[in-house]
Amino acid sequence: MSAFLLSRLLHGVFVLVGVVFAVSLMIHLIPGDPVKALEGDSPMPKEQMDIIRHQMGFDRPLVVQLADEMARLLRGDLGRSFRSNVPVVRELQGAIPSTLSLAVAAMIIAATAGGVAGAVAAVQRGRWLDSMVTAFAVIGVSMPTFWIGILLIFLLSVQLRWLPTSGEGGLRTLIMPAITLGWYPAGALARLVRSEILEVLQQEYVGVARAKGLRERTVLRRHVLRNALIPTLTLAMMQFGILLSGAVVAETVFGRNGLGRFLVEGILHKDFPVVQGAVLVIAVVYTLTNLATDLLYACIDPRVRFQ
Amino acid sequence: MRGRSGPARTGEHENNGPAQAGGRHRVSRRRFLTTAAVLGAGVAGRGALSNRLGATGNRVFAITPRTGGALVYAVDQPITKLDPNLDAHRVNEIVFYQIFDPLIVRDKSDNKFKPWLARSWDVSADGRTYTFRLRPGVTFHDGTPVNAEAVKFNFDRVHNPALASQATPTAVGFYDSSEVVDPLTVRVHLKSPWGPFLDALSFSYRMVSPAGVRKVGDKDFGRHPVGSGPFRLVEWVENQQVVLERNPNYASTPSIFSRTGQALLDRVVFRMIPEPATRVAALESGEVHVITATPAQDFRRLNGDPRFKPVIGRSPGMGWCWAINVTKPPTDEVAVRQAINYGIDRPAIASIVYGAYQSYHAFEPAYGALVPGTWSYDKQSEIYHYDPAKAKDLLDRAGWKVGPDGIRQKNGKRLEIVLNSWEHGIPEVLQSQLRAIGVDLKVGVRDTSSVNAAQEKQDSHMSPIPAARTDPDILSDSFHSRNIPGLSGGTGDNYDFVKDPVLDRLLDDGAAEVNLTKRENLYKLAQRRIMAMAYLLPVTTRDNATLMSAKVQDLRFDAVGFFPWLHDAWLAR
Repeated sequence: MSAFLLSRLLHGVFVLVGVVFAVSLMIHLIPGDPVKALEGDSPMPKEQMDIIRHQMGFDRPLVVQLADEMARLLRGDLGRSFRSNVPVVRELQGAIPSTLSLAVAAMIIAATAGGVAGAVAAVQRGRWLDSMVTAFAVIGVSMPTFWIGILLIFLLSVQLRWLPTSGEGGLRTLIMPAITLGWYPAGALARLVRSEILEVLQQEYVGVARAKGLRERTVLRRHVLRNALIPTLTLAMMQFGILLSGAVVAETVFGRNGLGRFLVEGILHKDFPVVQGAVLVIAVVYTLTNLATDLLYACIDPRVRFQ
Repeated sequence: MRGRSGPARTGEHENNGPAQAGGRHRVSRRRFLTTAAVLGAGVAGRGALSNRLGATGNRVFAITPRTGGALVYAVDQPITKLDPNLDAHRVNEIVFYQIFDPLIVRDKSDNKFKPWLARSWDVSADGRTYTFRLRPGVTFHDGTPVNAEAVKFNFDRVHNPALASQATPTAVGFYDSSEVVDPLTVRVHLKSPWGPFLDALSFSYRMVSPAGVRKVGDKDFGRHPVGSGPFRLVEWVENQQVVLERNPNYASTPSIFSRTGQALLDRVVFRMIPEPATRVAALESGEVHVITATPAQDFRRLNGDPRFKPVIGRSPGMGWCWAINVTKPPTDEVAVRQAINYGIDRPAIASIVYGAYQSYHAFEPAYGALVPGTWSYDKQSEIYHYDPAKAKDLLDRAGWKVGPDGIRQKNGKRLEIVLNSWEHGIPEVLQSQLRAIGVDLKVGVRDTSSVNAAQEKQDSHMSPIPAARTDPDILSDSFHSRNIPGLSGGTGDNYDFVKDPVLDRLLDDGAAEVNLTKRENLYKLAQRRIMAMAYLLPVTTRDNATLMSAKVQDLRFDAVGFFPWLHDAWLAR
């Protein structure tokens, strides 16, 4: 077990270094002048751009710039944002809790709504409840996040005035973004849970369990749900990773200070240290989520062994 | 109807409120004859304009400004740093103009410079030495004095290459040194005369506290700003909001403000809401009072609603105009460029695309290289009034004959022109209008940097080059040959690729001339040259047209049109 963990963590470090290097190379290669991206309202004279280019080291060969950046990152220094001059670490300290709380809240909504709906649909297969859940799931996976967010704001903020339109601070500002973000994974999970349960219900061991005279409730809980959980968990964990890094739409619509928005702003303004810092965090999250998923398998499925 | 008090009550309250700072402000009541924007429907939509005009509505009440309250101002981008010496991004400027004051200010009513932190100033005959006499007794928010030493510190900081300032426009390449003559007199020396200097002084040189910079360091000062302006920073929540509070010691109001003394608002909260639909929703739900950049469809929808009123800042410089590539066929032919200019019906475009703004004189048809109202604007360069017959004739005579599909051809080549933009609206209308004279306009709408890159790579013929500026020197960026992109590693904005020695001369002379009459004349000639050669396709002005709550009073914008003077603004109940 510990050998497995160690090798996986080591593997993870390689992944992180690779990802950060690849992303750093890519942002340097994207066409567009990073100095031009710093230009404000009025055009900047060439002399001024040259001063900035020299001070920021963009007049050096790409290899030297990259080596410099990698050395800095290896020292554990994420640098300062080109635009705000604020250390990237400090900006990440604000963005990570915001995104984490949003992703967890969205996941709770998705798992509860999707799991319950999927299970109910499977058990009630072919009845009206099943059709309703299927319809809800299809709507969930096909409605754009952006649109759900705007609809919620229109209904709950502008019409009913129950919740603030945007911003952060407390549960009240978390509700709408979490529903918006949880909508898609809820739909996806509902569909998966339904089909997995239906598949398990066809298995012979379920027939055996019933033949033993177990009560239907026990059959469902001990034999069906537990077996249906493995692929569901994989999907849920994958979705969690996506929620953490891909919340940019919800973060923008609801004006949140999250990791996704931080990254996109960084890319748009060619703010290299910001992009590197955000990608590093996202890569860490993905690596850890994958590891946690593997460990969870072992808890659920006794057949899984670590080697 | 929610939250609006009746006229009688408002008047009564305003007259006998002992808690108000009426005594502290020398308030001219006459100025506050406002329309019933807060009080009644019907005229409310015109509130912002009639505020300035005096009283035009059918119900007029004298309202004394109210002290207190927090104005919530929603901006569309993250506020990143509040350091005028090092930054010039619009969203930051909107905030830091409230914290930092300049030496002089441009009065948009007569386009002249007026005193602010400087009581008076002289320019030497050779245009290389500027002497400023400062207003006595002014202090920064940290209590340190705004003196000659501090002004020198600011100039030196802007031009310290180690700090790689992104502030524009500043005298980069021209600034030499500053000299403290006495505690309240400072002299600035330039290496060579630079005509736009006074404009830059009124705009981007804003005074920061040297003690404030030394306390936190150059890099962190943008998060701990200390100025001498009417408001000071109290709270910064990353990517959420920036909160300012009234500077109780403020006494350095310029003459162009409506009142002296400290500001009326207790606080100003700048909220960062990037999504336009959310910003509009926040305005509708009453969470915010002012929003930047209201989408045109929402402006139209909410304009008649008595809870809101329009805010208009008319913006000088270059409006919605497209650089025409003079090196790429077929726009290398002057006849083609002139025909395009004659072939578009600007009033129709303005009313189709920006119809809702027309009654506020925003986004109006534009015919010159600069927009009307810009200092040195040349009325004579307005030559391209809609004349499709003339456009067709020009093309006929240049050998472009109408082909079987209605598009003109010459030597087997169709008359195709690629136009890019980062906003829908104008391009589509241009496309349909130019088809009528036999031009096939290919339209692409993408993000700003791709649009610029396409023009730079000669993939397109026309690329937008709007720029809000009070000084006509802005023309150099788009038309001087030294600013051709890619030239000697440069990244200029001359997207028309014009290399015109006559124009270069005019622009160079204009940039070096300090005699205002001569300078004005040089830029008039430059505008005439640009339009005669049709290097540009001007379409409309490009203004700041947005919405605010009807409770907000006396909110005005500076000469650039985008930066509010919140010192005078107040909130009615």
